[in-house]
Amino acid sequence: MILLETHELTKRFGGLVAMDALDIEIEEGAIHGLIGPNGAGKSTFFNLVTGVLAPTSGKVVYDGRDITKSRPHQVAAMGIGRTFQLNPLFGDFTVFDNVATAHHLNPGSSVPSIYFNTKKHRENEAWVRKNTEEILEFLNLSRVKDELAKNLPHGYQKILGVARALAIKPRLLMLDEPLGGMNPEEIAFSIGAISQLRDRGITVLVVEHNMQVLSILDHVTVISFGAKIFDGTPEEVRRDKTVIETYFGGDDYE
Amino acid sequence: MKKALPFLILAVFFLIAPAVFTTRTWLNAFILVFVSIVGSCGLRTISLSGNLSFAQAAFIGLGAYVSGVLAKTLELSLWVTIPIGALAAMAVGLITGLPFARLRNIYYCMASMFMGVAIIQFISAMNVTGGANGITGVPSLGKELSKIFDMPGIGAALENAGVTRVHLSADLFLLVTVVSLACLYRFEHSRIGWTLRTLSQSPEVAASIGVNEVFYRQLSVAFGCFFAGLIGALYAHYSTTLSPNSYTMGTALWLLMYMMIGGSGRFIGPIIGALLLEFVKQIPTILTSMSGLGGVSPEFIAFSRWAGQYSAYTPFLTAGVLIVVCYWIPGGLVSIPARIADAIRGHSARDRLESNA
Ligand SMILES: Nc1ncnc2c1ncn2[C@@H]1O[C@H](COP(=O)(O)OP(=O)(O)O)[C@@H](O)[C@H]1O
Ligand SMILES: [Mg+2]
Repeated sequence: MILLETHELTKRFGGLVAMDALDIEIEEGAIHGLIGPNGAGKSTFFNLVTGVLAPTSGKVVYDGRDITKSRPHQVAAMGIGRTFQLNPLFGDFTVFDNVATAHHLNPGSSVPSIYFNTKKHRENEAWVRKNTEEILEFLNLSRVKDELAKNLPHGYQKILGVARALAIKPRLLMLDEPLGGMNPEEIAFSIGAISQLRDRGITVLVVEHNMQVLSILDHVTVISFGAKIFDGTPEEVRRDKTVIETYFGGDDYE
Repeated sequence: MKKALPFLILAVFFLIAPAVFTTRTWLNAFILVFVSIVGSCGLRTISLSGNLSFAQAAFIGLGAYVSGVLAKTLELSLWVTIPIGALAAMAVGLITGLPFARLRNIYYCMASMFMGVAIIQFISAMNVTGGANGITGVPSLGKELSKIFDMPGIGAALENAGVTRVHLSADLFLLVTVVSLACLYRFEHSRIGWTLRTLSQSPEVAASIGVNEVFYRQLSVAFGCFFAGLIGALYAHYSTTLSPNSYTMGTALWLLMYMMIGGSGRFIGPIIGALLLEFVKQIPTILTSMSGLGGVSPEFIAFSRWAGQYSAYTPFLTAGVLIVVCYWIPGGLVSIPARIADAIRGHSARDRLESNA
């Protein structure tokens, strides 16, 4: 089943075409890679899908529903979780509170029930604490759960971004360069964690420059200047001439 | 328990204070402190999401005017008009807040400034409000309260317990303040407060976890404005006069300063700030009235004259304090103990992380 698809998705910033009539289909349960050189429009794609940016034309369909005009918080409520390339955090919260607060929609208690601390809300809170502990355990963050997020080393902060996105119980998780700035050890751990997400039934869309992720991808879309130049399996990508030229040809990606 | 300590000390102080400081001047000072505390705490509630409002004085004024004018012109009971005043402040806060709810930082500051000025301008442009001169003869809270003494049984019991008529108003202000603060405290320390604080740190991330920014900002406006309106309405019936000059941008700035100087990061911050600064502002008035009592030395009278003369400079003094606080103690006065503790311990979270690894 197709979980997310776009039809001729286009975004112009003045004269610049950041997204050029992109058609993409993301299969439910897959780890889908979106790759392309810097400035290709990958982050723009994230922002278009999650409603941060409004497309110039085209549409975004999620789970059979047109979500092109949805606002970011509505998109989150539909089960699309995301991280950000520059990885902003709730820096003044502890790691634990970053993830606990991110349970905002899950399981969700009404404002009056929160304010008057009803029995239902207390049960929710207990569930939130338990689930937070589980997420932190899964991503190996339990050890630093009482640290302020802003004091964490960079690699931990990136993983915290994923933990936070998991708290919304996403069906589709979109990761924008999750390995950026990580050391080899953290990269190996994160790749393992991402592939486990698929086993948990979460569909993952991952933007990454680091070619080590190719090993866990089920499907790859390559874009350049906002347009799709290739779509296929990781093996096909490795063999494709145009991709190798435009993408792996640069000095950056040996 | 450690968290509750400052509140306990404050509560004891406010319970004892009216018994010790019995003059009208001191009572006036206390009541102004209560108005400032509730106004400033309400302001802090709104600013939890990261937006500073310059309109808070106008919402205190709105509550005051709505209740005062309704009680005077329609001869409604002030027990009815005071809640109406609070609700009116909340309603106007929500309506004017809607177009501004997506604004952030400096843009919100400017919008709220405009909003505050516009509300007071609007009030002083009407006839029923007495225009720029304001009105006098608002039904008095003191008179209403002293009716309690006329009730058979209760009056005698109160007098036996040592409660005087003069103090009933102060006690009511104390009660309303405590209840308002309790409501605001609960708001902030529930998940709602946490959610609002996500907005002040990163609205993008907040949206990505499903936070409806407009709804939550409006929720904080509803709480902040309601209690501002409530304490304003009560004040209108205490002072029995209404004047647009009491609720200007200057007053709004003072409310902001109480919060910034006390410390905007903690609930108790604006309470400490309002308490200290409001008394600093009142010093000349208090001194003058004390020297008027007689039996004081000529030096004291000379000093109070001198202080009175220089009271015009209080804003400069406060601005100076604000600059000092912003530069050297950004967390405000309430952050001083934690700063000292940190300096003594002398290591950051990162050290701990590395020593663990
Ligand atoms: N808000 C914006 N305003 C103007 N131009 C933008 C904006 N966001 C992105 N762009 C431009 O769009 C292009 C694609 O950017 P981006 O999506 O960030 O690329 P990628 O994530 O693939 O590196 C770049 O040329 C970038 O400068
Ligand atoms: Mg990018």
